[in-house]
Amino acid sequence: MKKGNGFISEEYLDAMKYLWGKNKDISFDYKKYTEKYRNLSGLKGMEFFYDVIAERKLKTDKPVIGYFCNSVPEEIIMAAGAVPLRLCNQDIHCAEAGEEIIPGDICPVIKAICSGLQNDIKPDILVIPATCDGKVKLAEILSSAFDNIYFIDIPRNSDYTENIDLWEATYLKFYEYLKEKFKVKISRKELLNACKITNERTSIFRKIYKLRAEKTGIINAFDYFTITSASFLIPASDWTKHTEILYNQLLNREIKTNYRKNLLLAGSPIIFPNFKLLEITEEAGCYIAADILCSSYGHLFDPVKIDEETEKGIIRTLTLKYIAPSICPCFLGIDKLINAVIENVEKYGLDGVIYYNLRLCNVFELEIPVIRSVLKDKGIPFLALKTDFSREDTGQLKTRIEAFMEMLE
Amino acid sequence: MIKAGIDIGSVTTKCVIVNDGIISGKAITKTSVNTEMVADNVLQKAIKEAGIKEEEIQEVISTGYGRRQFKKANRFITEISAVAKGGYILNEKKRCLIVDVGGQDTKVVEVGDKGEVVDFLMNDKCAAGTGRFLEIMADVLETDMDGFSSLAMSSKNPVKINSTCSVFAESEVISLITSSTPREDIAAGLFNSIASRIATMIRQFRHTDRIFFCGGGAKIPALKSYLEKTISQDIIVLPEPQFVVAYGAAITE
Amino acid sequence: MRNKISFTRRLVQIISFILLVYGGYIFKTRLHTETGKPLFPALEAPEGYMSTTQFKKGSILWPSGTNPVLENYPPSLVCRFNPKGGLFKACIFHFISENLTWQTPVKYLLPHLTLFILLCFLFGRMWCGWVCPIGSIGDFITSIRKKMNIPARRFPDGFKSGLRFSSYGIMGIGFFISGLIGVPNFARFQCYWFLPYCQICPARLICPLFGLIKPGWKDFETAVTSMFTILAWLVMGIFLAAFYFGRRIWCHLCPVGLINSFFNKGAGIELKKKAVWCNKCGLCADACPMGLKEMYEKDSDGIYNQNGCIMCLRCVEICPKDGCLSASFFGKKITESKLK
Ligand code: SF4
Ligand code: SF4
Ligand code: SF4
Repeated sequence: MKKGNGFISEEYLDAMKYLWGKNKDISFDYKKYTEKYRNLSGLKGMEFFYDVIAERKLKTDKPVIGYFCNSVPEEIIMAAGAVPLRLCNQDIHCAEAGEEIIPGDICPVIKAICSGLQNDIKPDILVIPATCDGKVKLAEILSSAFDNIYFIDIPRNSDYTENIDLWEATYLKFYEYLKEKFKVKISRKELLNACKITNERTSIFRKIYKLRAEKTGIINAFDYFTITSASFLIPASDWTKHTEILYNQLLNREIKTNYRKNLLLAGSPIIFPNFKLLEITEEAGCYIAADILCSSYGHLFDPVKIDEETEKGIIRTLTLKYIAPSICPCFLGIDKLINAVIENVEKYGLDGVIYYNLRLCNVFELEIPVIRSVLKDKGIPFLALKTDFSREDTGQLKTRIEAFMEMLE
Repeated sequence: MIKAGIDIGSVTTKCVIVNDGIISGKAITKTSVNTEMVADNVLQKAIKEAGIKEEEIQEVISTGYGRRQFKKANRFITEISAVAKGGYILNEKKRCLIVDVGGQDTKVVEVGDKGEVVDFLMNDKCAAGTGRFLEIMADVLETDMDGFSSLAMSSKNPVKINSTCSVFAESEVISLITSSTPREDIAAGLFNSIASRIATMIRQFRHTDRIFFCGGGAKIPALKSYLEKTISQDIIVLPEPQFVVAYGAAITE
Repeated sequence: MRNKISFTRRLVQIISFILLVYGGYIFKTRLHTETGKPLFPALEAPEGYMSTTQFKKGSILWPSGTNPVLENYPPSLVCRFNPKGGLFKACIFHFISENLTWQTPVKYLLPHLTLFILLCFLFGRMWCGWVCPIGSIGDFITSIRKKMNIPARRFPDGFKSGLRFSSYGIMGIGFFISGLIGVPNFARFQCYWFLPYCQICPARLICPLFGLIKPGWKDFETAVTSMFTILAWLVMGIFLAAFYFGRRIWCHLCPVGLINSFFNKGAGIELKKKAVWCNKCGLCADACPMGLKEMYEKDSDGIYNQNGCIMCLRCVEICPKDGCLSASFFGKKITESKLK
């Protein structure tokens, strides 16, 4: 069999092996991490989710397909009889270890992914979409460590009229690849079934999203982002089941709150264990009532609504879930993000917007000028924060967030 | 009503005692490792100057980077709100933009018609564009702040300094010195570079017709004049620029 | 109910189809024979209204044969419940063409015209999405295609506006000829050129089949009739292919739809968009059977009744953002987009 994926010639691949030779082992205790948040939560339904993120293990005998970002169609993976697993990593230890492979001035998520994959669940196939530049280069770097990497090359203009046919072709190619790889025939029924499963997930997510926005203090930020982080790691149907249980508990929850303001969080993803910002906002008494992040809203909010129940039609509709409405800054089309922010602020009467910009992730930073001026025009208070996984700037962030809260009062 | 405002900054700690809105005492010292002790010392000094007893102070409001460390304080507010309050009162309660160049951070705060904070910007976690940068550069040029300032003012032909990062700027300055560029021109170049840095922050705001300057940086004449040149607009330095934040804290209702 | 709007629309389509195609039987109007009593005599054409006997019996406009069950009240053509005309018709195009030729006194036109304009004023082009029998047949063909897993063909916008342009042409020519043969000097051409569009209309070929009547499908007697016969077959082919591959692409060409579409703007039924709630997913554009993209493209709040829109409300149904798209009737909301 041919080695590698054809991204890099075989000859060079051997030379790259040394990258991984010196990679150190980073296994640490997520349990300890979660305890802190678990104690704060006091919700019975949360136990399951904290267990999931603490263990970070996938119990399945099906093949596992790991992927990054929000533009890989889970439904196709599920229909092919595999389990999708989103491997985005925001662990500071991984990010530090990743510096041995990747230069320092690169987005910490890329670094974390790179070293994290050594200790993480090993996927059978790794699917990397061409969202940011980092992911593209990651496909090359990882190709010496993984034999099966599939690269989804997505046209970057997220305007439906411009690119729908190209997206369709892109996804169809991926679909054919999986069919060939697993030697399976995928029937329409399987595709529809997969869509049904993710749609159920979407509908329960929307319920919880709405409840959180309408009732201040119903669920704290740690719990909420733990749930969304857990959705990366467990099959959609399990997630739906347990979130449903949690939702019912939330409905009957007595809330006493000392939150001062309801805010919206937008910007870079927040995935366990990168809860630094949340710790500061919670401490400052600001309630994250809504979020427009690709790790929660972007991952779970959009459904597949099928018009043409043909094979191609379903695949085409999938692009309208994953690409067209995407709030990922890698795409051209910031309208979606701005619309969503304004919609949420207006609908739920929120007090302001915090934009979280992961340091060294340039695409997010490049959105700030546009959002800042639009929101200023609309009279919506806006605060942009730039930080990474490390804790050295906690004081600075605190000052900013507190000042922002004082400004709102 | 007598109130005290304490501004615990990264370089200096300031205290202002206010009696019904009028300053009756103030004091300043360098911040050290033991923030709490320093803050207490400053408070005592200010009390002495005001000629009152500590018990008479009804409220102590602490602000600044180390505000949480001062246990005596009844309330904490951020330096952003404090500077807005202080600046607003000092400029006859009008809408304005306040530029505060402190030791480790530079803030620009837009104050609305009613004294509310409309928007603010702070520089990043980095010394570029702050008082600390100027201090380091004065050291490199082997002079003190006043000398540094007057050097810059006397230059006719400022050089272009490309780095705003203090580490890189330092080596750039050293190489300029060795290539025997006049020290005046280097100093002017440094002020230019920091002024343009602050100017970019100012330009992000919409209403920039009235700009006030405070913080330690406002005491440096060269910084003011280079900043005025960069944004081609007059800037008014608030009276007692270093105490504006502490004053703002003290008059917080 | 998952697809509430689609379901209701199917239902309305089926009911309308039955009414239109079997209406002649249900309302007991008469085709060839003078037997039987009309259920609503008032709706029958008054004496001196107009005569259909002016055109040739064997022409392709004339369906032939009856079936044993429906002998006395054979289903009529959809376009005119009553062969003699009657005061009400289904098809506006037939109505206008016919009257241009006969130069009917206005008082006879009023009932139908008032009803037509009233309906248009209320529902705009809803006729197309909810009532038109060949539109319904087309939708049925589309659903067969879907079952067979054949992807839809999508046409570029330029092609669609080309069709619309042609539609204007067809309408113009149709009316022009109809008017022309009404002029006494040209009247002798009537038997060949009468109702020129109707001669090639696919509905004329399809709908009678449902009443087990044979439509007039060929007439090679003269050059003109041969031309119409061949044109009719051609159009029929285009019609079937269009619905099979291109969903409602046919409806961009149909002159009946064109006339209806003039009333879309300002109709009682309104399609609204709340722009800031739109996530630009493009589902509405993708699902629109007419392939219209305006709902997706609009960036400000407002009412967007476009000319091409057949008011099927599919876009409202499919939009995944709660409350982003909605349909209202004189300002009163009847339905809005919802996740489920
Ligand atoms: S456009 Fe013509 S064929 Fe299509 S629905 Fe309307 S009237 Fe019927
Ligand atoms: S715009 Fe909407 S209502 Fe109009 S035809 Fe298209 S899908 Fe139907
Ligand atoms: S379906 Fe709804 S959300 Fe999607 S583009 Fe159309 S109007 Fe916008």
